[in-house]
Amino acid sequence: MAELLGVLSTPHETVAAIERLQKAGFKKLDVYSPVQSHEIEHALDRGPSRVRAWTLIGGLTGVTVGYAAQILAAYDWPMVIGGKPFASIPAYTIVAFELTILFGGVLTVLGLVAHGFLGASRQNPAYRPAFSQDEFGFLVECHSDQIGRVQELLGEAGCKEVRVVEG
Amino acid sequence: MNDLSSPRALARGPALVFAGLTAIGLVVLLVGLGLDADRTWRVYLQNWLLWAAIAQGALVLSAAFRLTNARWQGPLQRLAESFAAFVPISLILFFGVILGRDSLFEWVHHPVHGKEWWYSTGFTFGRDLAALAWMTLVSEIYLYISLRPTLGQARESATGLRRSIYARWTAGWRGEEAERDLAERRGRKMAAVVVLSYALCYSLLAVDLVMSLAPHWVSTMFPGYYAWGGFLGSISLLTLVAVLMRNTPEFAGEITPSRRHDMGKMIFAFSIFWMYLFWSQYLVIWYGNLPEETGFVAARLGSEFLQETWYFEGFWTRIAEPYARITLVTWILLWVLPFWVLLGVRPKKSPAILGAIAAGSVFGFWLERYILVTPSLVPPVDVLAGANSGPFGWIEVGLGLGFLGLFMLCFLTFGQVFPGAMPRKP
Amino acid sequence: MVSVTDSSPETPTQISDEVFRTLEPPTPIYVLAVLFVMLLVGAAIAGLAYQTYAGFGGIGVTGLMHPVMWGVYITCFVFWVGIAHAGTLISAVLYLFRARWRNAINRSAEAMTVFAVITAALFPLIHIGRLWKFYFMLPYPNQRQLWVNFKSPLEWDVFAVQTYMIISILFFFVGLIPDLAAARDRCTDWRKYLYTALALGWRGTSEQWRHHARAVLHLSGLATPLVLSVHSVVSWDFAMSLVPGWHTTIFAPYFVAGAIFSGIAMVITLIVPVRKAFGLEGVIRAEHFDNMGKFLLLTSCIVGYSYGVEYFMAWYSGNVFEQQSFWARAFGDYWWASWTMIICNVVVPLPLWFKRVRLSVVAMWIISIFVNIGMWFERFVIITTGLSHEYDSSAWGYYTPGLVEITILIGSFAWFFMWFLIALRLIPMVAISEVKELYFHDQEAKAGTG
Repeated sequence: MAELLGVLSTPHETVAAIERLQKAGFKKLDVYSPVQSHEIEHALDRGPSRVRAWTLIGGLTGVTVGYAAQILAAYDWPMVIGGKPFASIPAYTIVAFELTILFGGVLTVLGLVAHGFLGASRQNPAYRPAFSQDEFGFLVECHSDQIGRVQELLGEAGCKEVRVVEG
Repeated sequence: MNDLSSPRALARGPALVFAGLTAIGLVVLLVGLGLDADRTWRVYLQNWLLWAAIAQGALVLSAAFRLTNARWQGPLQRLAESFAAFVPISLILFFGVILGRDSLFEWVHHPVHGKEWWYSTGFTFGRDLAALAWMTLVSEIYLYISLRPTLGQARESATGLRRSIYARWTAGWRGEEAERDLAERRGRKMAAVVVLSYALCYSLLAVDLVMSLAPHWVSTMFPGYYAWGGFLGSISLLTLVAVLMRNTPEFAGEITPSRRHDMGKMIFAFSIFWMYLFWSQYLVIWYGNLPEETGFVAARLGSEFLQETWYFEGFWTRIAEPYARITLVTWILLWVLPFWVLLGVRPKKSPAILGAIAAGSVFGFWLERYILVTPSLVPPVDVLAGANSGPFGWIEVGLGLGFLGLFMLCFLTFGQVFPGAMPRKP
Repeated sequence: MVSVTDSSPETPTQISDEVFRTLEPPTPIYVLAVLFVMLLVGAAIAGLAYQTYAGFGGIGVTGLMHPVMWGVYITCFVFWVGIAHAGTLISAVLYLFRARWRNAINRSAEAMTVFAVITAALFPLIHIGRLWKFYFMLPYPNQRQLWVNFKSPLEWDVFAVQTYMIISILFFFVGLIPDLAAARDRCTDWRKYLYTALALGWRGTSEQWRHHARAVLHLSGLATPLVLSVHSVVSWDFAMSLVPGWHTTIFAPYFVAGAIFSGIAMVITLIVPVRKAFGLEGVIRAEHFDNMGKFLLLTSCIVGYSYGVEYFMAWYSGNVFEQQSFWARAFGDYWWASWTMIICNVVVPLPLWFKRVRLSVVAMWIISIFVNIGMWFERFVIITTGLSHEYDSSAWGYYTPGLVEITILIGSFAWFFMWFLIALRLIPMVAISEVKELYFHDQEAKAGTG
């Protein structure tokens, strides 16, 4: 297997390059981008991020823990306060709500770290500092015998520079 | 893309149906006044509170689109404006509320200590009429400014009565670019006036027409809560009408999934805010437990809404109390369903689901007005003693349909007279 | 008058250059400013130490005395929590509403949020006097077998403010990651190590952006109701009681509107000098001031409406205690504070109705400072006049802040500015990747139409 890098300068060009390579049957594509781009995301079509599930689990845990902890604490040492029932749902809704947000938010970030960073810890030598500034790096994985074809396609897509990534 | 600059033909089927409903409403009103005047006026007030606020809220929505430079709404803006056709009618119908004052307002017979001058027939209804007249005036000016550029384009092709109406509305209009800019700027200024006037006038109406039914109850939140309800109700109705009309020639291809998504987001977000307003009012009253505040809530949620049994052991006996079930249904229609159903993207884009939720929300507001009005006039004790106060009696349903018919007739007429499009923005 | 000009940077590189200018070596004025605020913070710490040592009288060295047991400290707490609201509003709410003008100012607003919450969280600790007992507020299984009182609004506050602090830090950090990577790839000095560590290995791959976008969306969705809830909970510290002038149902939305009002004002107060000092005129442009001015105006109207409704309902209720409390507020011992609040919050922002005023940097800056003052006094008025005029006329009192309280009040501003100044040098103060995203977006729109 070989990996090629093409350098582009706008999201628009990058999307066009993705579509061109996809049409030619290359599926293992990746992009280094200095900005978020819905178009690139759409073109690569990876489906919704799994971070969704983390938020949901966090929120549900938070609301459960919130109500349960308060009600259990109230019955652990029952004390009438302000003439209110021990398990005062209206009053407990506040802390339960806050914990829903807290757990949901923390788990969302953990999900981001788990999916976005831990899996991507491999340092790809193709990366270069300009990809966080103003250039778009387009990575194509292909068989060694297709290098010429990919180089050609990347050139047609308007890459400023095309080279083979040295492992 | 359809040419939206010409008005639509009157849809005869719906127009006949709504005219029929209006007639039913009128008959029920007259018969009801003969048989049970108190109850009829109660229902009349309930419906007036709903439809006046929705008509005005729709114009506020149009103004809000303008003020926030929104671009996604397309024909929805004119649709919202056409709901405001009912605004002048609501001013006229308000005389009905004045006529029914003996049945509605306790303070007409027993002046409230310390507020004798505030709640007196002349001053109370005088200021309410003034507020409504002011709202009608600013609404008409706003519509005038908003329609002129469109009518300026359409007047050449118009015929008959429309031609003379257009000619009058566009007098002095030359169709220059500078005029369009001026209309844009003036429209924006009037939009600010409409929003501010709505906040103030509908707060006043909330005090005079809802809080005064239980003249000893106090809540600083209530006026704002009421005004927000009218706004949210108008968004729901707008969404419902847009979804229903999505296949008419006028709107074909306009109510796109992305536009439905945006409407769904609005219902979702604003119903959460409605819930927030409701909740922050409820929680303070629940926590403070002051008799002058809790009475209002207890009449609607059951006598022991403060107690634990409300939630657990005694739940079924509690909701068997008068009004408690309707209050809960209202809450479900206005927040629980919109929130949980519209949480995802797909339900927001589905016309059936979005339309159903919007219809539920409009119906929910109709029930909400019932819950605001009736328990103050027919307290739960009276209901337990056998007073007739259900939300679905023949008077309630008949008058409700009558108001609905009249509102929709105004809406259809407006659509027949005026073009549905906004002038294209360069 | 200085007017805002529209001169957008030409290329993405220029955007980076302009923003990274804040990270260049400091000028002497900057160093002096940092030293000055540190001096004030030092004075406040000395004041706190003085107050904390029981031998000097403990909390008795403040002006707090029956009946007014909540004074400057609680005022500062509410004020700073309020300031913290603008960041989340601009970042999360406007993100959800797709208002694109937020991009140039959201970073500084988020940074401000974090520092304001950190400042606010100090005040309950300062106020309890016995600083070392603060952990009593936290629920944990303990030897005394006691739990905290979850029915107390003060306990709700513990949760609300902590949640807000954690979520706003996370939100700030997640949004910062791509820019930290950009800084890492540009920097050559010691800060490179800092950015390398903080960027967590961000490479901007499509996979990372995909998860990042989803995380930002969800954090915005969570932060939006959170921002409503936090200041509502703060307002309920007052509204749940039965003190005349405090127990009123409108408090929650009224406090939230006030918080956004003061928060936006603080953003303007900070951003105007930063923009000037670092030449960010190309990134923070006319539309931003125009829109922030509109927000100020809107929230000022809501706050003014709430004042009106409160006074009206105090009269309408027919409750003599409410009536005399509000009468005392306007014409009693604290008339000066009440009128300062009304003039600064309702009258001073009125010129914002004119677009020319919203586009004038100087005018906006002056108005924003008045609003800050007015909003501090609003909290002071609510807290102090409420407590000083309760039910029993023999228990009425007058509260004058002590020297220690004033020192700590000033110190809190210094503390807040200190963090902000330090952050200016360490963190790109404009969300570079988002501004670039808009740049590419505009380029394409231009290419599409012309």
